[in-house]
Amino acid sequence: MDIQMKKGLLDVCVLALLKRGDSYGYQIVSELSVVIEVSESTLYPILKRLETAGLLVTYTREHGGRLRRYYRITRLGLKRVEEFAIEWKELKKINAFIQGGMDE
Amino acid sequence: MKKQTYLRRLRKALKGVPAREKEKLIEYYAEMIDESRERGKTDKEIFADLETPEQVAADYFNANEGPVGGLYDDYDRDRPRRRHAPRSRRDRYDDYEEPPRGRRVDRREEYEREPEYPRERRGGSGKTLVWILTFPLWLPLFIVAFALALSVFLVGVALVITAAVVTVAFFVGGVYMIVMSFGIISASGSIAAAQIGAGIALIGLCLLVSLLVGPTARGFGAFTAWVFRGFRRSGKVAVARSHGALIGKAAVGIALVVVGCGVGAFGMGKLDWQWRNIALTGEFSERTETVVLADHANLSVESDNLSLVIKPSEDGEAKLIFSDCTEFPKTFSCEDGRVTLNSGSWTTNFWENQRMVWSHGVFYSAVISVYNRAVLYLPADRIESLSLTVQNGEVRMEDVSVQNAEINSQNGYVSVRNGSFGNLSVKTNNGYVALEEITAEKVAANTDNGYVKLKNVVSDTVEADTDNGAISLSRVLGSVLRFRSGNGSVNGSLIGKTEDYKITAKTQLGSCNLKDTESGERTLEVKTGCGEIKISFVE
Repeated sequence: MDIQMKKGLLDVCVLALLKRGDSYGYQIVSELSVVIEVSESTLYPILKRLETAGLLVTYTREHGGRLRRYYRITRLGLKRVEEFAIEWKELKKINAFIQGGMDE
Repeated sequence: MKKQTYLRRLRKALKGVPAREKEKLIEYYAEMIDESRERGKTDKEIFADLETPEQVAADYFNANEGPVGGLYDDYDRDRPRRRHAPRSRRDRYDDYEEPPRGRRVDRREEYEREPEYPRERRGGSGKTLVWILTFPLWLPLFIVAFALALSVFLVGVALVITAAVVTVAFFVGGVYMIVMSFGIISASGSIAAAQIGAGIALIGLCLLVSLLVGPTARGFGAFTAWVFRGFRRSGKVAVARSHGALIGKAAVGIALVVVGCGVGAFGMGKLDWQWRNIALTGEFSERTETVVLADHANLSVESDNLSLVIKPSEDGEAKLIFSDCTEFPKTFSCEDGRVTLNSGSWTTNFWENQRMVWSHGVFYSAVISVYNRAVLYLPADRIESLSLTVQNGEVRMEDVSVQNAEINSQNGYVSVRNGSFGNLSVKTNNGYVALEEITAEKVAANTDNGYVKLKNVVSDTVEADTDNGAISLSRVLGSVLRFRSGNGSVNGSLIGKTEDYKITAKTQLGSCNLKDTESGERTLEVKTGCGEIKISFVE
């Protein structure tokens, strides 16, 4: 997959995952890697970027004698996920155009 | 590879990344490794799965140098935009995905408080107006909050610094005591044991106090972060991670304190728990020296480190009584009404002092100083003027009356009680001056950093002058009264009525309850720089 397209998709995937509930780094990697190829080192910049953009916030909770950093989606993040659905319709149109063009 | 090695290599690979950012990334990987371990993966598997630290760093740098935005960023950048394209929604993404660099932080806060798109917000200017109009309400609150945060910040800084300084002091003191014990071990094993015990206990205490430095610094860091950014990033991570090390250190510290106290107690037991035995000072004995006086003599007494007590003589003779020890005999001389009494331990030479500590014990000067007291018995009727000069001791004079008395102390406290004088003049640099139940023609108290207390003083002229201390008055009476304090206050009571005094009161920054008057038989002049002036008149 095109690297830029994947990057954008990953953003939405992370947000979509957090929409189901707060999660932490390891869990995000393991759950996302089922649908899209993601590693620890690719996830980190995404989380950081989303946090900086205000789409998610982080907090820590104690877990087994250490602290685990959790990520929580913000209202802005939720909006971003909703908008992906609309965007997706546009993409489908574009895809139809591409496919159609190929057919001709 | 182990976790620590991995994190260390990562830290190295992330050279040039701002410290906070670097720690966040390292924390993230530490958590990843911990999570994998908890799920039963072996280190071998974990580090086979993880990218190498160098790869991680490369990804990090790529992600930050490359486009920050999302799906269409590069597309938009590479191709000319069609201005009429239906792209309003996309514009919005651009808006939050690529905020202008300088404003990034502000913007984030904006989103948190008002998680809406900025351009969809309505009535923004109205809100601003409300803020401006209500400023008398929130401005004081804001200032109070700011002042509170600042004071907590400063207290935090002070706590951290104090803990750090105490740690270093305990460590240095402990090592010093242990090292210095080797000098005395052949002369007295018991003293050496007492010193070594105290040294070990100090090092234990140093360890215990050092435990406070980190958490205090971190807790306070977290607090500061909370005040300035909202409590999002907890500062407790490292504390939680190093619980084991913390407990270990505490256990070692407590063990050292217990062992040190044990060894010290053993040594002190051998010394019969007599504190004067903890240094090799020899035998103590009381020494009496007669001070030869001519009639109406001028007597001057000088001393370096002794506290002097002056009392009236009962048998008409002048005597000086003090305790002495064989190792550090005091030197006494009396010539033409000039008495000098110096403590045998006083030396200002650093190396000489270390040599003494090595051969006589760490606490030698402390032990001697307990006995650095002398009592001077004076037949007041035979003395015209008395001058006392002490470097570091206190001077207390009670029930003695002479025509002229001049007392000088560098660092000690000077107290004169119950006496009548022609001239009484007291000067100290750092000591406190207390004059009580005094009748005189002229009283002058002068101190740089000490506090001056005058109680029931009746004198034609009373002057008190201090740079940094306060002046406290209680039932003072005089025809000319002059009080000046640079940074302290002047307060208390004078005998008489306001009308009796011609008052001149000046303060630069303090408050003042006196009004200048032109009439009055007596003169009262009060001056302060920063302190308040508060004087009442009593009968």
